[in-house]
Amino acid sequence: MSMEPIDDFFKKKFEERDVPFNEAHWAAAQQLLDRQQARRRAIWWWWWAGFMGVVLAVAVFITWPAWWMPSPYTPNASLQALPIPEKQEVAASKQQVAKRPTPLSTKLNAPTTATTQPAKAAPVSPSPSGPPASNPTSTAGPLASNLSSVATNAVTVDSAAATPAAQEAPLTPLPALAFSVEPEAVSPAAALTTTVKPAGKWHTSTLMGGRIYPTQGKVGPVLGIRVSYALANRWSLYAEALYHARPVAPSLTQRSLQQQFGFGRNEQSYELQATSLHYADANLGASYRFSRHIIYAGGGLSYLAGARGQLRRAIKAESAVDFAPQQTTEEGWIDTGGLPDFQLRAQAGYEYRLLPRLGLHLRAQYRIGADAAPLALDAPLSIDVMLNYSLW
Amino acid sequence: MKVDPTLLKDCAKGNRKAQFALYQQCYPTLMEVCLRYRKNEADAAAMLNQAFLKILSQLHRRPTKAPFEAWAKRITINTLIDDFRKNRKVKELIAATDIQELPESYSGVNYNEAEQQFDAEQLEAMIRQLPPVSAKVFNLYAVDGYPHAEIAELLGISAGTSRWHLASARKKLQDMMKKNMNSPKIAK
Repeated sequence: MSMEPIDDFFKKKFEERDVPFNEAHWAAAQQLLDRQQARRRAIWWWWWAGFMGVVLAVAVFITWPAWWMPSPYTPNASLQALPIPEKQEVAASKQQVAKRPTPLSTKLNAPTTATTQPAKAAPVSPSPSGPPASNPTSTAGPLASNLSSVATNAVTVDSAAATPAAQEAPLTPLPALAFSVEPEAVSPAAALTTTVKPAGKWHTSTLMGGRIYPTQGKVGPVLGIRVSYALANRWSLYAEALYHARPVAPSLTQRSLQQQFGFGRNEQSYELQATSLHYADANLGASYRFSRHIIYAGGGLSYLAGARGQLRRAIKAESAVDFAPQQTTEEGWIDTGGLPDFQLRAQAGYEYRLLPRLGLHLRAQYRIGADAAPLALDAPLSIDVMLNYSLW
Repeated sequence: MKVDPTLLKDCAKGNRKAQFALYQQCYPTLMEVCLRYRKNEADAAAMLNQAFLKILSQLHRRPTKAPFEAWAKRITINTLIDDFRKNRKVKELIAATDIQELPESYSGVNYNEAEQQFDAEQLEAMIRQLPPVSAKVFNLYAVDGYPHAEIAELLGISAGTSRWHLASARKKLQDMMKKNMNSPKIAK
């Protein structure tokens, strides 16, 4: 690379140049940084929402058919003994007797008494054409349901027919048994919800998941317990006790400046920056269920139990004014002064019962009233995505 | 420009205070580069901010052995050249540039005298009067130390064309300097 004198001249001049700092340019840079952060948050938020949507869709797809396919063999089928009709004198005519083939038992000299095998149960079938309609001994009365079948003696060994006296004997209709399927038992959702939430009973479950702060693109864990009491007409009351941790971008909560005058002036500045806030929540509300879907509405109170963060200390001595201050940073639990202790929230949610004991719970919460927190910590909207597991 | 590694770590974590400190430290060096490549201060500041965003987003990719200043300066120059190449009119200008015979080297400027007479802002104003591609080639080669092969790749021209632009820029700048040697001010 050959350098000419003019190149050196220009290079030297530009290297010596000192461009003064312009605050307005930093303000513009901050706007760009804010916009970039907002874009990243939005991307993250949509990605998370899409992921949860896919998870929910897959869960519904997997579990839905198992509950809604009607089963032909329902355990609620019951046996009902129908009333036995009065004996009827049925006499065979001589012509009928003449046409009757000689039973095998006659040939084998079987006993002369007529024996009847016990009635066999016909297989249960939802088909309306189940019972044999042409059987003359089928004397079933009105049945409880359309789905019924009549049991009859399919085989009759009538050795008495061999004797002339027996030819005149009356035929005795057999007692009939019928199956009936109760229509109420067909609904699988009713069976499911009855198992999960018996009316008028206490019910306890655990909640586990994450709380999303869409405006800040942060997610913290949520863990807790719910107690609910089932009222009549599908309504329930619930109370929850939850713990949740909320990660935040390092945000200044407190600052103090101490000056000491001795041999010159020394300055010590302290800054507390929160990095995560830890809350205890208490929620109350009501829920309404239909089939596998449960809708929740209520309110809650959050108490700031603690905060973790950084303590930054900068020491600057007047004698060392030309040098940067000495800085130290410590991490740990910090004082929660400067942050609001309590927050009131309104909440509305939806739960889909994936399994009899397991539900996917989605809930939006909105802070009521103004927050005294620094702007960087202010997050009025939060969304809970939790799994609800029923204990008893 | 010496940058504390903890400051860079804080910047990567998104600490706005640390980002401000880094911006303040980088500002003189990077703004000087931007001012040389752009026509006015507002444009230069916009490019500086874009370059700063790239620096922040690529902090984790920075080679540990490379000095931060050189790395940040390179990202800034790449940002400026990328923006230059994206501009369609400039592309057309590059295509339409009529490459003539390489001008002979020209001398006759007393640099000791020039040292006294011209400051950096005046020289910057002279570079701005050059054709866009010649100005970029002169900045890249003479001030920022890029070889012709790399300049050719950056600007999408051949190495020979880069050499021609450099010679052309040198001659024009010397003309301007000689013309203004006796006049106290140059329009900025």
